[in-house]
Amino acid sequence: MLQLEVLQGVTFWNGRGSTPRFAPVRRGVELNFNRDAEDV
Amino acid sequence: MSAGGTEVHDHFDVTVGRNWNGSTFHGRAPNGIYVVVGRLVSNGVRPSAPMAFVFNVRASETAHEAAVEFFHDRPAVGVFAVDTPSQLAFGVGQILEVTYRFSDPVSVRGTPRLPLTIGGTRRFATFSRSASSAEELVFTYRFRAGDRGTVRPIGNRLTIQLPAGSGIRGSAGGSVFRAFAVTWPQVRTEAG
Repeated sequence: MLQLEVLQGVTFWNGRGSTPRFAPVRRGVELNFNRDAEDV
Repeated sequence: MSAGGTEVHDHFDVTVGRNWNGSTFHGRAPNGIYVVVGRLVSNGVRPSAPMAFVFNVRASETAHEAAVEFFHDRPAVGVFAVDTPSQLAFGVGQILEVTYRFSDPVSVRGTPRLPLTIGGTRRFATFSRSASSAEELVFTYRFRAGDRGTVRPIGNRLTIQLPAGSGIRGSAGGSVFRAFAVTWPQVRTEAG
């Protein structure tokens, strides 16, 4: 079974400006990964 | 994709949101670009190199492309293997060696170190620049009088520490992930 090992949690950039500036997400934002409807 | 010479196929569905309650989100995620850095692992197959997964939530396509290019130009670097000691008993003056094998070249500043315990006492294996190469970092510890007992890493993951003035970066400036879960052998010393 192939697994995804997360090395660095979710970071966010608002997409403004010409240079990406990523920082950790805030305020309860999460990414949920599923494979065939099962949580990964 | 290919991992360690083995071609694998899989897919994940991803949902982005706010206030996950275990079954659903109760809020929308702010518009923008979201990134998770991870790697694919499977029993019996060498872990993949780290990959940046870039998700566009109602941001411009220009921003999305800029983010993809950003991580493409600065790939993250991970450990795909750690060589632990094959020798199981050490005496005074003998040297224990641990080698980290990275997925891509790295550059090292200062003196990174590897925390160990010897008979419950904290010790450090230190980075050996002369024994290392761009993709393989070697850490050594020379046993001294008074070292006695079981030699093991702190916790079940070997993690390189970066004292003040030390750093490890990918050759293109990408992040380096320094932890690796290992099966540590039963190493002992009765030095001195």
